[in-house]
Amino acid sequence: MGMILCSSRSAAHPMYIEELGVRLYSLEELCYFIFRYPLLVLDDFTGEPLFEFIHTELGEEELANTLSKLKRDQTTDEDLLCLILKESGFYGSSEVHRYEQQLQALKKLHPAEYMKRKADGLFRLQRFGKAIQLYEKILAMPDDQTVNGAFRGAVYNNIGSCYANLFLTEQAYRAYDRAYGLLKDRAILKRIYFLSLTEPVIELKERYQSMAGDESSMEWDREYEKVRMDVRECEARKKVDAIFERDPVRRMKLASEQIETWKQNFRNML
Amino acid sequence: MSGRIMGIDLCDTGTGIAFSDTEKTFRFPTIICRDREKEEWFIGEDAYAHALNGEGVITDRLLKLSENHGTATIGGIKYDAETLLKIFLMKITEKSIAETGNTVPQETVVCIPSVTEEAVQKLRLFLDASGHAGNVHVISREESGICYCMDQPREIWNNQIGIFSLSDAVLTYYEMHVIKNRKEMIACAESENLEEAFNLEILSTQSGAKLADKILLSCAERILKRKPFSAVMLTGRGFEKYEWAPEFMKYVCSRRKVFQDTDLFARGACERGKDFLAGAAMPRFRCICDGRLDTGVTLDIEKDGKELNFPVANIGDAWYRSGCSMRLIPDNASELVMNIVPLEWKKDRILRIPLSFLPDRPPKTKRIDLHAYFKDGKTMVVEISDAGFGELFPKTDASVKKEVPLWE
Repeated sequence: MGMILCSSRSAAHPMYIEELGVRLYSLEELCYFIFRYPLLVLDDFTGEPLFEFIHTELGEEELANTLSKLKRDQTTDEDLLCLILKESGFYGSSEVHRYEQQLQALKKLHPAEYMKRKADGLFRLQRFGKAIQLYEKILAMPDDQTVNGAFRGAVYNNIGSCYANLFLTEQAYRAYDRAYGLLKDRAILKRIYFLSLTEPVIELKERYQSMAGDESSMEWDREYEKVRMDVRECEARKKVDAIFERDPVRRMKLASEQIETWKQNFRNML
Repeated sequence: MSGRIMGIDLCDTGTGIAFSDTEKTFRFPTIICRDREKEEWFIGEDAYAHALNGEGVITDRLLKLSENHGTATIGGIKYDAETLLKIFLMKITEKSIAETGNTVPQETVVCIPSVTEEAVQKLRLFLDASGHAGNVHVISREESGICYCMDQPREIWNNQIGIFSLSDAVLTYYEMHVIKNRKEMIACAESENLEEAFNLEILSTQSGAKLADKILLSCAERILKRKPFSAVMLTGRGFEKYEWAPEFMKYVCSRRKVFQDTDLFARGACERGKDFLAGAAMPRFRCICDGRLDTGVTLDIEKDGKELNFPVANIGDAWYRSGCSMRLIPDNASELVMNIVPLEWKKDRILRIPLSFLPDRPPKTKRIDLHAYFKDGKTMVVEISDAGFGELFPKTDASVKKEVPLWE
């Protein structure tokens, strides 16, 4: 497609997407969200609130009415989502077709695998709290061909990473510990080692120390130190340094704005 | 078609007014006089009389003064040119309407020698404020000349028409022709201020008149030579009488029709008013002249999955009202492509503006605001700015501005 003419309508009451922490104002943004995040829209997304938004806020009355009617006629969510993409004209027919196939493939997944992909997606979006909830649900599922030791180990590992990102080191350690018990993967061992470095209060259990070995410990120490040095040169750090180079009044204002941003980001992660 | 139309020919030396419902016309020198003692204003002969008595101060060339944002200090008060022009317009329209039955016109069309956006806005504002102008439109003298000529029988504008406009120290030549080999008629006009202009006072002596006749004859010979003219029109205060120019008249009258109408441009403006009264944004024919574009511009876009040739401006549109503001998403496009389409005898051109200034983002999230407008009849300005993609990708200050000459 070439130069796409956008709809002139911008929602007075935008649609809030909790998983992304953003509001959608236009038909293009809605379509992009549907296309880009299929796992976030496959369950419970299509319904009256969405149709009402399309009708009232985006001014697409005909599309909203069609969607409502099809929903009443038990049309699948996949078909409704594809219809929105097609009717908007924002995506070409080949793109919509590809999307349709992607949805069908997702729907064929084992429930635990489907849920894990969704949780992984939330992890990538830094919605760690919501990802943990989904991972916990997976762990509550009974064992079968898919939900086996290796699968559970991978889930525990991801839970550990979620907690680590939330700075909940104790819980992260416990999850990694379970993951290592199931997978015996040295990469998990390395994560536990790094946890002990970031939070020295948690002492590395003796058994992990011996498992890691002196050689690995030294190599990981070097890696950890390199990351610490690299962080000093990163853009985020430079931005903070720049704030402290300002005059006191401006510095206070910018610092308080930065802290508020961090707080908001952290709240979104929970 | 009912409703009164007022046509105003506003020039620096003189201003003419004509109406659609009467043959009576008005002419005023474009001056204003203020009483030395009190805030009382005079126009026309009253203004001269007042100044001659030593009771008033005259300010002249009001149009030029307004264009230059000039001022005049009278009786210790500093007036800006806009105020003076506004009072002048109010006075002359008031007087003309009062003397022709007191009916406020439904449409008022003002023609001026050179159209600029600022002049259009100012005049509309001033005449709107006067309360007796109805809907106000501003066109160029060239367009007014076209409208006047096109209102004449077809044989008059079958070939080219030349218009000589002579007023005090201003001699302007207008040339008009009609393109007929298209589905629609296109009337084109150009004008040129001739260097040979002279002061009309020289006509009061026999030798002066003879010299003026000679000057005009040489102009006519130079301009009309070897071109098929179906008519020549003479207008302006200098041609109120033409006995002083026998040689010139003899030359222009050979093999072509010659018409004299002192109020040609005011009447032409009235003619144009008929289109406005009928609700037509464009005249019954397209005009290509000062104030209007001789080049069209289109933009290739997609809407609802279909390719469209979006018109940014059409040939004959008023340039100061043309352009577009729209929001676009360059999906895979790395540049904005506009087509510059001149009249059929010139080649189309493609304008490409690279979009590399935009921040790097996933496909379909580079949303841009495009604003295209015209600085004058020959220059288009294209402004493109990053519009962001909602809260998903907030907008940045990235933007580009390009002035594009429509003529190569």
